[in-house]
Amino acid sequence: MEDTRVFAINPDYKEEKFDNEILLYSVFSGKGVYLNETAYLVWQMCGKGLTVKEIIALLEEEYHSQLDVIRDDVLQTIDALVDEGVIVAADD
Amino acid sequence: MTEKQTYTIGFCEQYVTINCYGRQAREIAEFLFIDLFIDSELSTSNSYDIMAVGNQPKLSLWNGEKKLYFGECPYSLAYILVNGVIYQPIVKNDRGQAIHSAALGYEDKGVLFPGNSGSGKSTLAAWLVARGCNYLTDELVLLSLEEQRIYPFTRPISIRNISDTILASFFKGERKKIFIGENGCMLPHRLLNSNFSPDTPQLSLIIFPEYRSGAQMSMTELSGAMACSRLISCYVNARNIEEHGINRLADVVRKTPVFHLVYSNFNDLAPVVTDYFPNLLK
Repeated sequence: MEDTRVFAINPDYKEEKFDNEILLYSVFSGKGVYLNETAYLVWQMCGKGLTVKEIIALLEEEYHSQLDVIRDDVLQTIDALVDEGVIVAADD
Repeated sequence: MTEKQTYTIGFCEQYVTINCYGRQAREIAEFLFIDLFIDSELSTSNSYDIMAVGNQPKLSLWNGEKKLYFGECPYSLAYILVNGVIYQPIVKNDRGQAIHSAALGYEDKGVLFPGNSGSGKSTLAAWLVARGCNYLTDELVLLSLEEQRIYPFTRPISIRNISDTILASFFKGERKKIFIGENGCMLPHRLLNSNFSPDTPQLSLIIFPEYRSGAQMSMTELSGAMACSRLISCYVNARNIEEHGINRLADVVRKTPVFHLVYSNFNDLAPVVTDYFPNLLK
């Protein structure tokens, strides 16, 4: 089944860059969320309005050597980003 | 009639009044706040009354007409009082960033040990103070906005759920000089290191302690984003600071080495921290 879900980034969070890592923080809640490189890529692609299927396809195209893990990584990352509140389902 | 003694406690230009009725009430106030007393009479934002009256005094603690404690355990009263007072000064304070953290001076350096309750920061601070570090606080600092100087809320070291074995690893004095309750104890820091000098050192090192029973000791440097994320979780007055001050915390971790220390006992701790505290007493 194709995953056509779309997530939007939560506008409450601002980003602070540290070399190859990102910290998202909310000026309203004072909460900080650390993103590694993969999570940052997924978060950015959510911000562009891509579906989950499109995010997986783009990363599979970029990282051929990791085809067997990319799908699970993306799905886990999206779950974690939703749990942290930094992305929300686009129709919420 | 029981004589009333009034003390004023000051921390970062915020003031609290403590009214004491009875000798034991005065002793409790002095035990808790000896490093924070100020002489002048200033307008205070809150006041507490400690009552210890009669031949076998029942202790009570009041905040206005609200009774906070009634019983016979100095530790229990002291615990409620100090935890009520400690966050009073930061409710409206915008002079610095308040961090839930222990802090020590080591040589000319200021070291923060941020962590939430149960992280092991007070126990670690006690162990290091007993080995020569200068005690600043085990609970709260205000980090000045421009200079990143540490302003500590200096109080007795308060350790929850401590075993006799761990206590004995840094305290060998008389137990009657400390407050002990069912859930923990409070130790005057001078009993661990009498060479105390009040100080507001420049921040130069941050260590996030984590006590984990049975874990292998480790001291791992944290990346900037990870360090900042952890620091935010210990940051308690964000709403008072412009834009919540997160960019300032980011600057702090960019300028300061930040480590995560996992420890499970004190027997093997010295070699793990020796690069950062090379001249600790044995």
